[in-house]
Amino acid sequence: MISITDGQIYLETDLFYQGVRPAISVGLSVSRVGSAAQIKAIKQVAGKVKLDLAQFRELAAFAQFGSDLDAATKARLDRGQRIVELFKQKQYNPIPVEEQVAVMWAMQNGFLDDIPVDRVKEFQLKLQDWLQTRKESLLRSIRDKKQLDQELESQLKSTMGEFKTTWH
Amino acid sequence: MSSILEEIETKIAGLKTSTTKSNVGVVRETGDGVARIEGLSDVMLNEMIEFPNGVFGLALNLEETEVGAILLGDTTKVSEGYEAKTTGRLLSVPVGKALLGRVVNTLGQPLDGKGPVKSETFYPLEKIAPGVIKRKSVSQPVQTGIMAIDAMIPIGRGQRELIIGDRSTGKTTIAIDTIISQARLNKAAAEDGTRDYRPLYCIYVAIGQKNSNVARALDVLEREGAMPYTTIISAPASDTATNQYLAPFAGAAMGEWFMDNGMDALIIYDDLSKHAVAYRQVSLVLKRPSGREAYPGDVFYLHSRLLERAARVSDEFGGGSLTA
Repeated sequence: MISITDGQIYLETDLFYQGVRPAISVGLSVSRVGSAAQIKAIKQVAGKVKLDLAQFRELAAFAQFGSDLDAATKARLDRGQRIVELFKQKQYNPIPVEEQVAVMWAMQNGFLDDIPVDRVKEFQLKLQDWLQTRKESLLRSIRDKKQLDQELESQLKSTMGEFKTTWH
Repeated sequence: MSSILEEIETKIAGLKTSTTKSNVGVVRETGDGVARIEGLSDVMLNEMIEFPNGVFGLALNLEETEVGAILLGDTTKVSEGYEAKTTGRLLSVPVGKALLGRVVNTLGQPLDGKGPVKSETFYPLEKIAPGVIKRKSVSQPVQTGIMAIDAMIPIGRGQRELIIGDRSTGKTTIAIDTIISQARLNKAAAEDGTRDYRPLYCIYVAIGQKNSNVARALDVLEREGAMPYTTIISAPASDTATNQYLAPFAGAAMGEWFMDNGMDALIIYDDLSKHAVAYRQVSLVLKRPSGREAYPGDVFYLHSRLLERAARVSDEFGGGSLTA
């Protein structure tokens, strides 16, 4: 059955009960042709995510045994936990692609690293809300340009900085 | 005396004889939604067979002396000894934009009480998938609106993506979310007047689902304003195995209309394992040899045939696409 399709999305019961919903298993899900169709902006921000997550899962299993972790490992674990948090999503609540780009850009560039893991979701929702109401033009230009150039990146950077000052 | 002869002669001269040729057979046995017909010659595979009382059948087994046909519609109206006629037609369903926003059964008849489906175009259920020349590689995204999918497992228009997982892990939710996301994008683009945006129409084929689940999906889609871009084909668990078996093909035919007319469509088969079960039942009552777990040998061909019909057709052929 799998071989006659162009890929599969694998949902795992374990993940589902851990509260990771949609319970998509990153390792087992593939898309054979879809990446050709991705818009460039999302490729720019999401290119490393799959690798990061795979490394996180491996490390997380390993880190259960030891308590002394070096800084690099710890940073990777922290990043992974935040990605997992970001990918949790409520039912019937699709996120437009430009907001996905903005949120993932913030994550890749370390704007989420000082947010406690249990508040990442809250941060994301507030950020999306804030972008929709205040920075509509930025979202529009991401949507129209379909890729992140230097101008957009600097705009994103200042926007994120601005948002973090309002965040508590 | 002569006048009588003349009268007879004129009558004979005026007599018009006409014969219509039709292939007729006799129902030898019926039951389990299947009729076995004797004496029917020149039947095509997948041809519609007409019974009295307006019931139709679909010829699936062509054997030496008899034909095995599955019955569509009320199976109690066909009994032994009935006449069966070939029609020379293939089973077709209505297609077109008139179906958007509707809930229909396998044959394209409305189930939502909103009046008849106003469609003039019909497509046969079974069609050969687009060939190599007609196709083009996937180049446009389907934005599911689910971050984990859009970022890591991107789906393109014309792609076939399988969603697998144990029961109640959210397979249907992903499908419904995707439809909602498309509807929002379609609506936003229509309001903006963005010209290069191609709306993606959605077809949700519910096979062997509980009616309550279909109703819930419909309710969600209506609440989110997604129905104007969506067709639901429902062959619930209470429907005959025949209808469940044919439902995805009906959906594919409806999707192909969009593809052939240069539009994009997304079709969701929910779910194919129930479809395989329905096909197993049809095959077993037709007494076809069975394989592992009693599934017939061609169950994989059934699905690959279905999924091959999803395609991204190159611009010369309209540039439409059908994503499964």
